[in-house]
Amino acid sequence: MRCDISTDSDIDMAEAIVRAYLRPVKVGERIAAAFLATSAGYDDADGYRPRASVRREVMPLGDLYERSARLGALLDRRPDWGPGVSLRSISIMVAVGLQRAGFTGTEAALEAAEAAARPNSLISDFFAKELRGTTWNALGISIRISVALTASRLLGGTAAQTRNSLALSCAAAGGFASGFASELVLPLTVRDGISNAFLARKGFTGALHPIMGRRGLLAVMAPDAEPGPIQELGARLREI
Amino acid sequence: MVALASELADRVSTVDYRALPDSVRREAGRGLANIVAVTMAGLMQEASEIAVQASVDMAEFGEVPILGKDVQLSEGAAAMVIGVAAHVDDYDDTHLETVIHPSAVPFAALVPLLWSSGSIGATASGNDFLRAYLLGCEVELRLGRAMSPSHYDRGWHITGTCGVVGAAVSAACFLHLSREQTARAIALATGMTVGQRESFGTMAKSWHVGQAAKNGLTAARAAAAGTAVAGDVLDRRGGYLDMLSGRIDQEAVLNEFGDDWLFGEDTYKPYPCGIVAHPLIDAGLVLHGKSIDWAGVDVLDVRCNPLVPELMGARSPSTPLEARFSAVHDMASAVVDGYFDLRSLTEGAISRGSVARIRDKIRLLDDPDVARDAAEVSVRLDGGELVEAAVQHARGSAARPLTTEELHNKVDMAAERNPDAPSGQEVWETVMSLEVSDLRSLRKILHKGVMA
Repeated sequence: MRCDISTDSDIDMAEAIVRAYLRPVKVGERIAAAFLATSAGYDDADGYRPRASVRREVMPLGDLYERSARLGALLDRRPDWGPGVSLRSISIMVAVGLQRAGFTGTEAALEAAEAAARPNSLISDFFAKELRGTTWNALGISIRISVALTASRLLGGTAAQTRNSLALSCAAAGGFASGFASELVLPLTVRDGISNAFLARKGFTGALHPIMGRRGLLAVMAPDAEPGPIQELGARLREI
Repeated sequence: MVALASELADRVSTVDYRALPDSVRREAGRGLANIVAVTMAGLMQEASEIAVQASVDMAEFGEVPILGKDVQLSEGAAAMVIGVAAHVDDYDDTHLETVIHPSAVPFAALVPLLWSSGSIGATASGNDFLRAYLLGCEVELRLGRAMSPSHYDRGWHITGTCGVVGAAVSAACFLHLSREQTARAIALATGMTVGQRESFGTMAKSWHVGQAAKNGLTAARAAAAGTAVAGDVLDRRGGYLDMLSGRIDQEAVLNEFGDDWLFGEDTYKPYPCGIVAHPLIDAGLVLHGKSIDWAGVDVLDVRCNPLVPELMGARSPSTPLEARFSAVHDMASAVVDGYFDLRSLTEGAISRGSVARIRDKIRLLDDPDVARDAAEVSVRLDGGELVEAAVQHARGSAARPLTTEELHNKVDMAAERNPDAPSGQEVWETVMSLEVSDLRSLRKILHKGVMA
């Protein structure tokens, strides 16, 4: 049985997640190298050609979610990255895309990618554990949240706006773990994460307790979720 | 065993709109007129404007005009904006058994296709549009019925979770997808569900509708492009129905499909707020007529269905969106004004002290024996006199539906809220004549500034 999870802990959790993505960071060499590699790949390495209908001045954003899958996959195959880097590469992808689109400078993009790396990994682990007994695609949900929070930082979102981007991102499924068109999951969730950050930046509001509210993500998707991973996530976020 | 998505696609494909009974086609017309007008009013809301501005920032430009906005958006972005507008006022429609608002999501998925589907949108008939709208709503309601009440009770926002499949069906119908493609569109949509009730009282509730419409369109487009998906994802163990509900009545999905129309049970909201508060508002209107001196009243007792405090229990709303989920506020507003409509939900209207003073006296006494569309109120006056009022069936409920005249008046009032919209009369006439026309007239009222 799921233990009682109070909304008080959700306030802390949502705040802790937002704080982790917005915290000041020093950019490490690995993120910088990956950012440069992605940026180069953005120009030509994947052979992608943007749609003619996408306006040139914002092209990198307009086609971002279409090419995210192939560039994300490209990065993940790099031997020096090691396993389990999907979400990190996606955040770098978003940072490069928004920087190219003129929404942020290179330094800020690098910082956002650095800031996202650790919480991305924690969130991915958390949903993988909590949704283990279900057939929901935990990675799809994690990607949408990671992208939204990274994008919100890059767009200059306040803590309240970033929290609303988290709320919107918790309110949708990300496909099923099997049998669902896996090739759609990455583009769709990246698209939605970016869209949620833009909506929140303009003032769109969402639930205050999106993850552990009485009718929040865990209550509906994983009603038998155990409190262990929740407490673990909270503690590890505080350690960042 | 044939997968449910395939069977559903088969049933959908066999429906000949022109052969449907007059009563069903009439309801499709009434439902469409209602949602068109409500969407026009909703486009004036902040949430709709934010959705437009965010789409512009993302360069989501395309062919779809948005009424009153100087922009043409991609079909996905337009579906989002229209979905938000269709539901943000909570003024659309409700199927009370499932608590689904059936029209908004399929409608929001269909409107962009009037412009973005190329030759299909240009040559389709009014009947094609009505058929696609009706079938999307019907599939949505049948899935909802199969999962009710446990699905909603768990905390899902059923309009978003079932609406996404309805949107996929509507788009598939309008785009003339094959049965096999339609089955795939249904299956793909099941993995793109949207909405939890935790968001109620925030803009995200209407976002569920917009996102579900966008996702349904995506599912139809992906199915048309040949995207593969497991055919049994709707009904297999661990699939859509299983994951969304503890108890499933799978027969409810297909039983008498095409003969027995759940959409015929749809009701149109007379008041722009959660439907369980409607009997309380009716009672408030009765009390308004009794000229009570509220200064001498300590308590206003309301016996109501448990869903009232469950869904609309906010005591002191501070925004119009929160007020839409405060039964005590909405009732107090009706007591003070003698009406409850879009005028009652402005920032100024909800912050009035006269409303707050009565609101604070209202005590909700939930009672499972009180029907969802009923309420009983009692007030002990200063001199000891007891004033009572009972509402057996709320106005606009299935037992007391809006008359055609009342619905027409609602369409007039909603359209009037948007200075860029045509008159309610033009909306009404256009939709009611859609069966014998092409879609130019519908395109014209949905954006009068763009060439139809």
